[in-house]
Amino acid sequence: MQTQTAPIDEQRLQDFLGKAVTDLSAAVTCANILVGAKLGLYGAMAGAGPVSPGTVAQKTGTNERLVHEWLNNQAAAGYVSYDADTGRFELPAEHAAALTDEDSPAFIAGIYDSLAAIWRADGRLARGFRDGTGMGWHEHDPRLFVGTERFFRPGYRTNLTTSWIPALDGVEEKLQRGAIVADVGCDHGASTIIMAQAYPLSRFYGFDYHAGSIETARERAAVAGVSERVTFDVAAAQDIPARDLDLVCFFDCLHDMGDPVGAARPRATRSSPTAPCCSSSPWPTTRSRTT
Amino acid sequence: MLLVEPMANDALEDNMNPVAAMFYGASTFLCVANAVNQGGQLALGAQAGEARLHDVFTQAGFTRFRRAAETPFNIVLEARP
Repeated sequence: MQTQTAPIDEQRLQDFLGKAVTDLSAAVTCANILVGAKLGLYGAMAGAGPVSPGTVAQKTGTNERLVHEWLNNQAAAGYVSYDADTGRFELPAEHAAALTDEDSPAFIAGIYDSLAAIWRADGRLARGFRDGTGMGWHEHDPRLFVGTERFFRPGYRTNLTTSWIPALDGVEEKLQRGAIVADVGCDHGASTIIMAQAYPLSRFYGFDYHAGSIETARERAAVAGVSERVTFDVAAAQDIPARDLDLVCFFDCLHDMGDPVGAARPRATRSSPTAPCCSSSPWPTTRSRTT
Repeated sequence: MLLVEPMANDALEDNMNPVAAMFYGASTFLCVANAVNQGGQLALGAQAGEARLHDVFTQAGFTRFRRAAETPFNIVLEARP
């Protein structure tokens, strides 16, 4: 069988190659962002005004020539500005907010660890395409879990208790008075902990099927000082034990689940007025604690 | 029930933008890959859109479903029995 070769439009080809090179450039720049963030290069430049590569290298204890080449990439890609007269580079304040300030709603630098995990998954995922096994969340490089947490947390911190929950019908008052909340698919517990800090009279239960994430979530809760009101346990969404709940949350996770209808369904009845209420010691876990 | 999901329109042809491309790309490696790994018949993916999510909650027995809020990255949905 002979395939018909369509005539090549030279301009369209050039346009496409230009686009592909732009994407390649972005991908390689992202790898540079990852290493720059890890080394604290952005942090050294934030608020420092125009600086030489030597200054950045000295402040971060890194090799000057490597820092210089990294800065060349960052300048060409538009992440830092460059003054040809002085040979100095500057990280604008707006870029610094997005790249170095974890408290800024614009903070975006958390995601790059996830990209590293995604690149690393190519072999396993290709097999998952062929044999139909896909790839489980738990099978990824652990950098995925940290990257996901740091990517979503700024949005939760900015919006969750200030605009999202107040937009729900009567939920904020319940949480302020003292409610019982389940956070299903909680990863490292970023959303759970933010809610716990905002509603000190409420009790929170975070669940995730990934044991490693739950261990980290417990550590995060301890650091945040909310461990007494926040319990994290390993459970898949459809296996969460029954009890009365005032609010069930799914943050950026329902679409990951193999059975989203099943994940949503139990709470539809368990939270109804006829559902049996558990004792005052809710959700005793069958899993022995490791921490 | 509070459901926070990535911002998305319901149809691919309405999701031809960089944010959707990022989510679809991550979804291939992460979200759909995980749902398939769990034997999912209905792998929603990170660009499921409100209509598909509404359908999931209708099947799960919820009768009320609405968009309560949104940001450039997220839609915030409220479901009640």
